[in-house]
Amino acid sequence: MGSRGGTGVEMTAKDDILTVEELTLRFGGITAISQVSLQARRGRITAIIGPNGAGKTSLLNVISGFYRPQAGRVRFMGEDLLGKPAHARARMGIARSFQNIALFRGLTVLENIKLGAHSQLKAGIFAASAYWGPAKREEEKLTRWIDEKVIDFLRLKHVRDREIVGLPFGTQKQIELARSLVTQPSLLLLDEPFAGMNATEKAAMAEDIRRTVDSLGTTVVLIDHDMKTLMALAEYVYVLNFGKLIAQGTPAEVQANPMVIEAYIGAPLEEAS
Amino acid sequence: MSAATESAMPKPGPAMFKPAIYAALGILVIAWPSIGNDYLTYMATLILINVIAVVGLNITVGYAGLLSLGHAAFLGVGAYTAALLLIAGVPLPLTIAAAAVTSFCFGILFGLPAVRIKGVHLAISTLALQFGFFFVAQRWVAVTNGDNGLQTPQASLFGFVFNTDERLYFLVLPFAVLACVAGSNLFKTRVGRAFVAVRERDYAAEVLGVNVIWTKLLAFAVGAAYAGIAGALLAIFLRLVNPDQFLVSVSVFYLTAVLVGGRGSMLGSILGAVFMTLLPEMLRVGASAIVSDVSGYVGFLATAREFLFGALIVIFLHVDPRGLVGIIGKLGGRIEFRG
Amino acid sequence: MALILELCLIGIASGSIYAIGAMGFVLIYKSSGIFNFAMGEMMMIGAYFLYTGMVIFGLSLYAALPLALLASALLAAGMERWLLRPLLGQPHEVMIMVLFGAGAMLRGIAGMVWGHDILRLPEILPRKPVFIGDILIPGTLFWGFLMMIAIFGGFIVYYRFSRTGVAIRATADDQTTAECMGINIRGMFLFTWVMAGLLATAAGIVGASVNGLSPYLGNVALEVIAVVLLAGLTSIGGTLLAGAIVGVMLTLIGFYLGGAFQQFMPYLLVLLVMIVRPRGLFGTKLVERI
Repeated sequence: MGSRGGTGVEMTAKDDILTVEELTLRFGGITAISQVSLQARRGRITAIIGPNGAGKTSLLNVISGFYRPQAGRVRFMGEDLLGKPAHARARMGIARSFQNIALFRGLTVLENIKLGAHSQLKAGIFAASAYWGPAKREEEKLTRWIDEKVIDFLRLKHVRDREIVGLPFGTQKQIELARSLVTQPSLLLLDEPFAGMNATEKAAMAEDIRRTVDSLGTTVVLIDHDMKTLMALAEYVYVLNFGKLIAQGTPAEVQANPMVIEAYIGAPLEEAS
Repeated sequence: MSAATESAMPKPGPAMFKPAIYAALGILVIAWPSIGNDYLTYMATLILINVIAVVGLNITVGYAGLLSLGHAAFLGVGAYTAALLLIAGVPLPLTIAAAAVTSFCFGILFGLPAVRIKGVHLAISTLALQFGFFFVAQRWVAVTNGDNGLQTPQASLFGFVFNTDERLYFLVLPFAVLACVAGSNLFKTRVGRAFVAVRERDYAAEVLGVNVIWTKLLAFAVGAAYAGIAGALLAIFLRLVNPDQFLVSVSVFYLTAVLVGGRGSMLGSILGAVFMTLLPEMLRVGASAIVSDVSGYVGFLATAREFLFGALIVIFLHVDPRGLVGIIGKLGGRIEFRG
Repeated sequence: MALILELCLIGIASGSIYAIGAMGFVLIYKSSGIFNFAMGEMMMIGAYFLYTGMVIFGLSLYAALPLALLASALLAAGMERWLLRPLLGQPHEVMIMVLFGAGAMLRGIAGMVWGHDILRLPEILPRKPVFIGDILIPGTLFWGFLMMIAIFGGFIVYYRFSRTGVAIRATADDQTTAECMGINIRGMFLFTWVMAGLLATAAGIVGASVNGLSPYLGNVALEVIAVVLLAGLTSIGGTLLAGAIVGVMLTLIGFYLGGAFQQFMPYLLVLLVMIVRPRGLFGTKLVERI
């Protein structure tokens, strides 16, 4: 599997922050992902769409290290990812959100966001127990940084010290995004960031993702059912169906692709979501 | 949903009361031996030792959500380590440090195979440790002196001998205070946050760069180290270490203390330790009010105690999972519980 | 050679007792994902029920046994209904703690009601040694083994072919689908607990006939857990083989290295299985969905 850029489009390795090559993932007899190859370009928003059970979340789970594929390769900034544990991949600069919100109810909003900085902080068990000197200083520095850069960026000031329970769904999604940003990721994987949101919340989330990419230079790979929002947001789209890659291209190209329309039961894309 | 909205409100927190309460509490704790008699000082020392052990178990069970059904065994490891070292003439500070380290290592040893798998495996592993410890303590007579146990010499520090209840109280007190302060400090930092994170959703913690296995192992072993210190102090305090002090029922005792006090709460650990240390005493006093000579009922009382501890676990998990802290919070109209 | 054979047979026989207890464990774990840390105590209490019927009330075995089984079934049902059901949906550690607490309660009750002395059950199993060729096997163990095998066989047949058995297996495989197919999940949980209670009592009675009865009979749970882990948490049939392996191992070690090591073994075994093969001999590896 020496050849690269199998799509025919000539791209240099420098532009692709993430490269998935010929990936196959099976659970027992079921093939969840079958020989999928894709790339995510630096500083762009790449979307992966497809109907339920198409293998989208499984793909994210392979990239972030929860599933081990049977065949294929995943490279991140030129480094082979497979074989590295999930937490090590996070340290390399891969962050992700989850389909169902994965915030920690036992922590306040601020503490949840601070968790994103876990691997940048150094306090060990003794320093933490004493909470003196460097351990205290790094904690205070982090708090200031989050207050200045993240809380304001995502308009979370009014909930900063609250518990998670009881906060609106859209706000919780924003907090999750904030937490991901604190990890200062090169690559941000978003698993259905718009699921369960109303139109206003969707617009706000799309805006936040766009601002993140524009101002921080983050690369985003996201999956969702909501075609309409995705098409407006993404620069490149991959379409999965039954674990296979059936189409790729710009949003306009994909929308016009008969195979994609077929996969969505022949219905117009807007209604299929 | 009322509880949910309630906890989403910012905490009002009457901040100015806190220092006053702490100051009053501090004075009471320092003056305690001169207020009370020997018995009260003795009980207070026992409570303080239990506070250390319960804070440790609460870090493991309450904050990190890891099950330990063998906390008594970690106390036992610490107690035997301390007793053996004291007999060998090792200085007191070294002895206590060694007890903490030994228990910590046992925590790693028994946590390591289990934390990789599922929560239930850790529970099984700790149960195995519990039975295994008793067995070794009883049978390895050459070292542990079997059922007769070890007599610990009087502890001393720079020529100062801890030979009265009052002196022992003041030996234990700083450790208890440090245990609480260190315990709550943990949760101001990345270490404590990671503990809570692995309790709730370990996969989400993993993608934030938390090494879940190491974090679980650390939380488990730190709890064990606390128990080791408590065990060492117990050995010094009671001047005797034997296998019967660290039975399964003692593990039940500590687990009950955590649940009764309040999982994931330092205040809860203290309340739980106080309540649970006094409960058997109340039971004994209650029994002696009914029958004049309790001595014939020692066995009965021991089993009644185990029944009661078990019942408290069940009741608190069902009725108020937040323990006494939750109850006090409700009474005070304030919620301090997290998680 | 004959000696080793004899020890192996004794081991297999005593292993069958663990296997039946283990089956109760696995049954509950499969259907509801709950690890019953009170299983040992359920075995112990079941044996005390029989003791109470026969010794304290002077009933015959044929009257006392059904009553003991009934009482254990009620106890198990009560535990499911009042202890666990209200906590459904809570983290697994809460379930385990509740059951650990329930175990302590049962130990306490046994100590308060029946005392701490080791009691002997009336001779329900013939004590007369049984000879197979030159090999001698203690009578209680031999007949106990046959009983356990009969129960095991009966249960497997029931589990495989009866309507309820199929329903339990369906629930174990996929709760949601089972519910959609019209299976009453809660009823199923209750039922598996009752079954486990009955199995525990059978194992407890035979265990007590062989080794005597005390509140600490529940400590046999560690041997049972060793069998469960070795079988692999989810394998009902595997418990018999795992039970035999553990039984033989314990007997051989007990004979050659002394009883001390025999008691030490289950605990080493538990750790060993976790380190070497966490999913046991026959367990399935489940993929957790995220």
